[in-house]
Amino acid sequence: MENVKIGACGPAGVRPKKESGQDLILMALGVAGFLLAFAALARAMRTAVSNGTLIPLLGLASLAGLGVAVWAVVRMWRRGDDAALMNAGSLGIVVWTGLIDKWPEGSPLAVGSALLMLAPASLFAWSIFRLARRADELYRRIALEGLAFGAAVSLFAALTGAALESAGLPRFNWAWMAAILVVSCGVGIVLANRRYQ
Amino acid sequence: VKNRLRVLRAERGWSQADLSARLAVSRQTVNAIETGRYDPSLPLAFKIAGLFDLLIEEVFEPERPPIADRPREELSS
Repeated sequence: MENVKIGACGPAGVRPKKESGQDLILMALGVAGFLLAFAALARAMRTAVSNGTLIPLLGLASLAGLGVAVWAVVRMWRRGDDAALMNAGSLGIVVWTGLIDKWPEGSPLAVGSALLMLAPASLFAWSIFRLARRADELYRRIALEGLAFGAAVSLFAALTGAALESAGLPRFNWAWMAAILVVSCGVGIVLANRRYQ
Repeated sequence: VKNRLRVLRAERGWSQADLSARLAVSRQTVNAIETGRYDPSLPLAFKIAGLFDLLIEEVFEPERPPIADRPREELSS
């Protein structure tokens, strides 16, 4: 066969591969573990009711959760799966959302973590543009269906959050909307991708 | 839209990966077209037909015949 230029979705990937499904689950479990452990750690540090071993244990659990999530992204990246970029951005946004309200207001850590959000958000936005530029026509459709799914889920979440808040439930941290949007877009792309396999 | 892509590809001894490289699309796109899960755009359909040196209607055909080819009774019902 003559040397034909590989097009949009050549060996470099772009689309989520089969193994990416396992890595996405691994990443979600890692993120969930991190968020739960970190929230417990922040609570333990605030209340100072814990004994000496609890705080280091929760710190280790947070790091382990984050490590699992980062490992899943690295596995995708090493397979040449360009979806890894988008997932790295999503991971950063979700982790940032878990961190943002844990620091004292106005402290350098709070300002730093707020600015840190720009890095994963930029990565996610860049990966979307890259995908739109490099994808072939089928994958553009898959991405569109995924983004439509993400938009619908986010709209539903925003309306539900606003309605519950106005009904008197505790105030919703709207920073989570970005996390919901990126995660639901990712889930939508994986679901749409399965339809065409 | 039905198509003869799998047959035409097999006649030339090409794998899906070979065909996808020639068309500059992904192997998943070729597979989705062959299995009828995805109908290609008009430019890609022309490109496929051109690659096999055929007319577009020799590769693709509608699920139902065009209106002009349908029996008069079917159109009136």
